[in-house]
Amino acid sequence: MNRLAFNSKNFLLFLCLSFFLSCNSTEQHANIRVAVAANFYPLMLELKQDFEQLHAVEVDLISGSSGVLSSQIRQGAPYDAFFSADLDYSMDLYEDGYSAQLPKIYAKGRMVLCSNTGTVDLSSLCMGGKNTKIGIANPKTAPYGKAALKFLQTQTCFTELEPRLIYANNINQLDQYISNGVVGLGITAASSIEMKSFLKDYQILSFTEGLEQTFVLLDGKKTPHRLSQQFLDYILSEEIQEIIVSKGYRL
Amino acid sequence: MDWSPFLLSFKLALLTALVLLLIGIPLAYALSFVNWRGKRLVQALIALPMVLPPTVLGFYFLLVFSPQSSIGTFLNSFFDLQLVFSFSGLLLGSIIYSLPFMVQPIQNAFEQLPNDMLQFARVLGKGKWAIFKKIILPNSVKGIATGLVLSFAHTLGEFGLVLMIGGNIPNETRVASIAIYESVELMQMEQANQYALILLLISFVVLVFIYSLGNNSKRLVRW
Repeated sequence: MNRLAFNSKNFLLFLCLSFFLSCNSTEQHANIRVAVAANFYPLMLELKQDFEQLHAVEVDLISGSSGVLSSQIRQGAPYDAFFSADLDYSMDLYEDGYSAQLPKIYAKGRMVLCSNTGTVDLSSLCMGGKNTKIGIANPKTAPYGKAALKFLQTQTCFTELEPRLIYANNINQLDQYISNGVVGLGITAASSIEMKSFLKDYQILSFTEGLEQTFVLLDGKKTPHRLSQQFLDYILSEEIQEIIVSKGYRL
Repeated sequence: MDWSPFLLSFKLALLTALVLLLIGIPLAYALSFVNWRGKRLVQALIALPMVLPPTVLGFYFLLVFSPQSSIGTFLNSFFDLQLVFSFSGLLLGSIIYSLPFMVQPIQNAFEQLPNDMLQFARVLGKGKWAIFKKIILPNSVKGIATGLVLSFAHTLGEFGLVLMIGGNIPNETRVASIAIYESVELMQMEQANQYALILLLISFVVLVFIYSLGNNSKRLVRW
């Protein structure tokens, strides 16, 4: 009992110490916060490092499905820019006054049907075993999921496919499901093939329309726009656009 | 390895535990030693986070403090304070979320104090404040320490609430549990493994600490 004596002096010291420990925030240099659709996040992690070396700025990335990120922005999340996986989410934010600039296309995404457990054959989609689960991103929040669902709906056997669908929160979670075989088949972003080499077999769904992935600059008040604008210009620069294409996107 | 999620988790848990200490002791006192109307209601309210899904708490938190709500607008324009997707918001959420873990151990400790002891002190002419300071507090150290440690650990393990009201902002709201979730999503299993192992060890040590406070050897049931 004595070791834990309730001594008000000790206690005050403890309080001060802990507040001191909690408050000595590390030296803050300029930083911008960028919300990124999950499919583009792995590539963005690489681009961010490059950009940070070029400019004295820290880029904090927040990843999620476009729908989740955009509702976070509506609820007041302090992001400086938003990289959506489609045009709609950015456009809605622009139209509702969250951004003063029109959305710009930074990449066009393609979709891929893939598997990590067996071979992939588009024509056998309908014949495939009834137990094979098909993973897609949540169509309600992820543009890739919406596009995947749209594609599946064109299949004649959709009513049989529907009960086999598994919804992931976003592309990264979907890729994790595909990679460890939770789902036998998956429809994910083609960039996943380049960025994460985990697939046994895949087939690019080249006939589906590409997703026009767009970004918007958000009107956050605390961070200077200049840095965020610089970052967006950097993404649109020729050199970076080439890298983006080499990672499975189209322009 | 990136330690920042842990630093953030510790900062959050420490501040939560400290603020809760200041709130918890008076609350436990009022619940243990004072009779008043509506006490049961308050008691139920305090215990609510133990049974409520974190998403319910998170939902109402977003509803009340989002910049579109009147309270959110008020806080933002008068105090320049934003409680959603910010560290201060996480702190407030954690304080509510971990409140029962602080109040209940202290309340138990207060209620287990022998009545005679307090009455003797009263008869001997001590004032209420003196009794509280010299008798109640020193004899409840175990309960208070348990409350501190439990609310610290509970905040450390918080996930659903943070996911809803904090998002995943580096150095602001990306706490350790969120970092694990994200590492798994990105298939960075090594990093997830490191984070998870550290959290596991911390939780274990915390529980060992709490059980060793109980001084079990003296209370062995013999038959």
